[in-house]
Amino acid sequence: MADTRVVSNLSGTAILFTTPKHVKGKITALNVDNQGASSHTIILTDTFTPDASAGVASPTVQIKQRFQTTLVKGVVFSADENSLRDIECLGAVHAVGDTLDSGCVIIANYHFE
Amino acid sequence: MITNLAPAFARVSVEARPQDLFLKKGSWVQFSKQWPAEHAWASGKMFSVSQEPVIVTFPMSWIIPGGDYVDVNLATVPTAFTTTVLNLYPAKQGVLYQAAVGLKNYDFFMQIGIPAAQQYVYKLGASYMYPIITDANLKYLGQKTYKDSPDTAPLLFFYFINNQPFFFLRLYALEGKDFEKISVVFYINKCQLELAPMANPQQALLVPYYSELTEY
Repeated sequence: MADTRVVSNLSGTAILFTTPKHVKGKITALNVDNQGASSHTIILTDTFTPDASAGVASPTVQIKQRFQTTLVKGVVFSADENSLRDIECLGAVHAVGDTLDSGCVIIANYHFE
Repeated sequence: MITNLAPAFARVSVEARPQDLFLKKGSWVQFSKQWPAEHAWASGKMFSVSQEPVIVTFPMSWIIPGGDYVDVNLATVPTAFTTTVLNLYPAKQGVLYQAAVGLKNYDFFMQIGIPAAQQYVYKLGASYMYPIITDANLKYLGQKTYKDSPDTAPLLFFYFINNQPFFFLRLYALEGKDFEKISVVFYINKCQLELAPMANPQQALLVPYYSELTEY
């Protein structure tokens, strides 16, 4: 399964996708177009709760940062599958932005494997 | 009780679906005479599969830290299902569950024990040559990975009957990973058996008792 998620007007956290239980999420392309009024920092996080294991009997929610970029006004950032191939997502993947700006658009392509 | 085809057979699966390797209606099954008295209905006897089997697919996944492991009991117990007690055994006599186990191509390996730790199936003759999860070298002894039994064409088969000793899987996430998802797919072929005393033993699937697998 593959899909595309578009996020604009980001302020705070927006869900990109939730990884199903028995697969991993792979981001295959990422475009951030900052045509807004100022520079922005975009972070992708992966949130999941581990299972109990021999070493951790009572695991807690984990929020892992998978990606970050800062774009000045008017800049477009693109990452292709080759540069993203080692990013593995186990849970819910969110885009986290710093300030509200309708001119900053994030487009993520992803699939599960 | 357990069989593992050579990895070379993975190529065969290009033309043969996993279920093509399963028992079918009319297949013959012989239980070893080593099965103890509590399994007298099966011990040393020859059966045929009396009905077309039903295959039940059951994927399971765990997320654990790298360098850590989770132990999973495959047996059926009086308490409810949990993520570490899977209740995969038949609930009555006269039934054989043939369970193919496939592993996803993630960064983990699996050890197989019966009926408890230190009774590993894939060990060597010396008393200390078994998978020791805290030992930098011995933890890899007898490991099973994706290459041994891919989830899309499993080569590793377990055989379950009612109330037999429990199989357990020790699933180890490789160190070097922050967290890893461990994914295992069970394809359980539910076979109703009927006695077939006239069957040809040389054409029957032999199901040994676990002591025949582990005590040499």
